Amino acid sequence: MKHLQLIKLIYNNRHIIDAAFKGEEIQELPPELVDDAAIFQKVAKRYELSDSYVQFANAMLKRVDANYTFGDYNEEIKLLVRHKSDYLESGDKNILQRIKDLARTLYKKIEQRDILINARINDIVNDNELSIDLIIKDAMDVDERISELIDAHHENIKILGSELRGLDESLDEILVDIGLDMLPFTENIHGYNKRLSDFILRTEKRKEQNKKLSAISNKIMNERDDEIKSLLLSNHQLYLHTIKEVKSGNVKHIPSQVELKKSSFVDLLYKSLKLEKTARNATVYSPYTTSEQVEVKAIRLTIIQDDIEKNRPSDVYEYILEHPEITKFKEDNLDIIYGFKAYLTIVQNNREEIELIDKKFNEKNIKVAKWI
Amino acid sequence: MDIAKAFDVLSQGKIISSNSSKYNELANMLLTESFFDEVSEVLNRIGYRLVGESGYFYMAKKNKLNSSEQQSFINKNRDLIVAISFLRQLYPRLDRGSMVSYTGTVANYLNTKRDDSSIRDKLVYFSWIKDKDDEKSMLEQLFKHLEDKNIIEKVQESNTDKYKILDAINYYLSIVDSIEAGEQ
Repeated sequence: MKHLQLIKLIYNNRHIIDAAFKGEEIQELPPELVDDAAIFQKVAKRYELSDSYVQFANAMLKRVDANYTFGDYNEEIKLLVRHKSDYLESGDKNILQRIKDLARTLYKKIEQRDILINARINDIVNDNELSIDLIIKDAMDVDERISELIDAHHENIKILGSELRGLDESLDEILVDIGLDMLPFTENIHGYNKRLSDFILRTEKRKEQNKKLSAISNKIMNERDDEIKSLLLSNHQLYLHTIKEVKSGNVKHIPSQVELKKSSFVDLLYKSLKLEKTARNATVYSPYTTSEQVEVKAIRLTIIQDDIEKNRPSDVYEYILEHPEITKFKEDNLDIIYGFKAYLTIVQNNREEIELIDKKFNEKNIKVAKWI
Repeated sequence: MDIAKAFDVLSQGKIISSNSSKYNELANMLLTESFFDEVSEVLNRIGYRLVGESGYFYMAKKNKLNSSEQQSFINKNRDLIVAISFLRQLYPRLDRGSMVSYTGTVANYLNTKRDDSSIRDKLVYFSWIKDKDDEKSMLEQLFKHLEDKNIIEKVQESNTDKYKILDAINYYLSIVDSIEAGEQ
């Protein structure tokens, strides 16, 4: 199998491998993951990711395996104890020198371990990309390991601090120095233990919350949202972006222009509403109206006067009533009034030509005036 | 002004005109692209669309309207559409942003009636008209109806004569246009 094929194989089976990496049990597998490339190995009827793959993944993801990082230095301690008994038996100075070197090396290793544990915990606490389950699993692994280390550490201190004492003065000096320098590590290791326990507790709470959130989201997706709806509506002003239920219970909307332009809509509009097309040009209105032609009638007194002078009537009023200048008012029923007016005017203007006959009234009860 | 308040107004089926003083704040917010997008996204999720057309905003349904929804819109807006068509007969160049006055409209109505007495029938048509003899009061009610529907707005609260025509009128004018075009 070529490297490129391996990458392809891993890619094709990425979900299974990822599930296994997260610690899930895998029952069935494509055989090529065991046979062609030893990504999985069968352990007691169950498939597990092979150590080499886990190591590779951890190395690539910059996650360092807990066992690798945190040595408990049991071997070194055992060696120290053996050297001690050898030295007590033989009194060989070389062995003493070895004990000194080994104690120094052990101190250096413990110091190094402290740095690594700190870095590892920081990694775990700050790693937000991994799934929450994996973070908890990592943290618990490390926490468990640290708890073990606390015991081992006390054992180490006991050996370095008391059991190796009294062999040699110069060794005692070194051991005292180392003992003093190791005090902060002792404190640290307890600190790490507490920090991780807190972190695990918090993360588990978060996991619990996540579970609840996903349960709620599932309910909403399945439209079983009565509970959350009533909660949100109960105090809508407190929950930002919560929409107040409209009294009528529904949301009103109006059709978009696209809808309005649809022929089905226009047909419906046209059937429901009859609107006449209105002229687009503004009509100009004039406030003035033309009045009807009125025939202006007037009495031409001079004509009557002339006719009277010619005919010298014995009753001026009777004569005037029959005169065409007055009869033209007959259609308006104004002839008697205008006739009387004309009679008065003419009598007034021609007093010398007229003889008013005393106590003589004609049929219209008008005093008879005779033209002389 | 936040999304919830914007939803409050839009979900009443109102058209928000950008030249309206009543909805000045909301209109200005909707003219901001980021706010418009935010409201759009929220409406989108619940099956609606925020529409911004020439100077006005409203909420439309994302899906197509069925015929009963179309009919119900027409039934609800029948009076308003006829009122705007009536107003346009009096003001043939009616457009958003212009001003109309109540007294001017009464004079205009009386002038139009002299040439075309059928305009009175259109005024009497409205369901909310009570006293069908008093034309001035009918026109007063017409103005009130248009004001309630956010089509016109008093220029000043104290001035009951002069009104500003809001951008939303274009929405209804296009409906009036399509009915008139259908007639042809």
